[in-house]
Amino acid sequence: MGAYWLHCTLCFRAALSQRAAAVAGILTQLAFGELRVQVLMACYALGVAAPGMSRTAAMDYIWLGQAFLRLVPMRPDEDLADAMRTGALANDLCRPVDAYWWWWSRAIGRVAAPTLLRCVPLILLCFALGVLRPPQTLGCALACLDMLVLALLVSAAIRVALALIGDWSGGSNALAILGMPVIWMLAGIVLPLPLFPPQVQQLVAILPFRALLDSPLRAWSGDLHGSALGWAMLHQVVWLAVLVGFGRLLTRRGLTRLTIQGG
Amino acid sequence: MFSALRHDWRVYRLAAGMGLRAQLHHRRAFAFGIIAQGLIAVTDFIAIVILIMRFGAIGGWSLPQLGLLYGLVASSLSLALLLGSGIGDLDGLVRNGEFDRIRTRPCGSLWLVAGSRFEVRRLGRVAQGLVVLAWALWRIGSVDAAAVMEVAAALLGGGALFLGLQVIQASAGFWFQDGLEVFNVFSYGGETLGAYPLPIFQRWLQHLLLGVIPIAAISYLPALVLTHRCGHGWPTILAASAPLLGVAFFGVSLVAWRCGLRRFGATG
Repeated sequence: MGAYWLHCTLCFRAALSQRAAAVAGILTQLAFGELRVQVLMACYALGVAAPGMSRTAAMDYIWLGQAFLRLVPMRPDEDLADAMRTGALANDLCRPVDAYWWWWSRAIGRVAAPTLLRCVPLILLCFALGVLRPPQTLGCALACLDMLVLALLVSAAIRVALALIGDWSGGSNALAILGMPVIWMLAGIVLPLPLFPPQVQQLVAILPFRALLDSPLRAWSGDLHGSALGWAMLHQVVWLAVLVGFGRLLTRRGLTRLTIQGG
Repeated sequence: MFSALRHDWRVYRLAAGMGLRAQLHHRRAFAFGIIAQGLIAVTDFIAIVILIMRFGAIGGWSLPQLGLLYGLVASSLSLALLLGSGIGDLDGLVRNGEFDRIRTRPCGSLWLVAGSRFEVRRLGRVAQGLVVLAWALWRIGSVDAAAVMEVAAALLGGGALFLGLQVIQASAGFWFQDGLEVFNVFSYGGETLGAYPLPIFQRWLQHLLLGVIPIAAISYLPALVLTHRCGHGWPTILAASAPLLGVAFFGVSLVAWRCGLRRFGATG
């Protein structure tokens, strides 16, 4: 356990050094947040009754979505994919640790750093500009925090799983490439999920992707509360277990078939 | 001047063609790349469809009419991304010294940089935009010669505009090394903004889209003509010729490129 925690924090600190990229990222996210808000507010101005989410909750959702954008996987875990391609994987396997936990802890660190670098300044900026409301109650804030941590763990598990699928299904990352736009859409980056048509709400609620962004964001604004909040958290925990289990299965199967060339 | 331009264009075609042939060797990766690019791009249009399903016509524009806006701006951006594939890589070319070698060749350096890569997978994006555009035109009906001319002009102006944005981004690389991804706001963000009718945005944003980075001139204004909405505020002749602004923007970007080149000192 200690080794994995150390690995996670080391990767976190290494990734934390990329500050220039974070500044550019913050400016980009501010601009995209503003344009998404303007489009959405124009829609709310049409005065449709009960569109699935209140206007203020939608606005919080957009800004928080920009702040925590990095939680959503953009590509398979690069370190792992590179290691498999170059054969550096052999190094990992020589270590006296479990391969899967080793990769997963690295992925957590690598996701947490850019997320923190962007979300803290962006949220402060949004408060200063008066476009984001603080969490409704202390309970909302705590629930949101819990769910963000779970989202981080799920995100890392998806990254590792995608890299494992890609490279042990014959080196093509077709699934990852085709899956990315689906993850984007169904995590809630493009539009808040509650605005999706009622016919697909049930499907969206079951799929794992809302655990990445949608659930924590709705906990913040109090849009998710009571039993719905509990179910959303359970949804995250169950999918986390499934994804980690799946990743461990792939690791075990892959390692028994693995051949590393070289002397 | 024109013979020089023809020469440059020929060199671009040769360079880009080489990139194309190289990629055709990996057929499966090639096909998946094209499909994935199309899928990624189509999420923006799906977002518009979802909004329409929830809220009804946005700013008084129905789905096919919004599809027209989206088709124009998405096709323009994707055409520019396809033709200018290599421009985004300029910093890499500068760093490894390849750009110094390019400058010794008797040919416009911008063309060689643009042709240094040709990302075929971006064809998926182009196809996606054109499909939505064709669907929108078919649903709106009344496609006559004038409409076809207007669409062609909008795509030409739009392609030039987004190509100009890429050239400006690359030129800025002669001054700044980091953080150039901020420019993505203008291209990808511009694509999103161009897909909605201009009046739904706040005033300052409208001015920005008309006067500074004239994205409205290649999507909203031509769409006004195509959906017969001219009259309130926009005379037909003005709206119809607005795509020329995109070409002018490209001209400005070439000036920026020249200034950047003058600043550029070889690395070794």
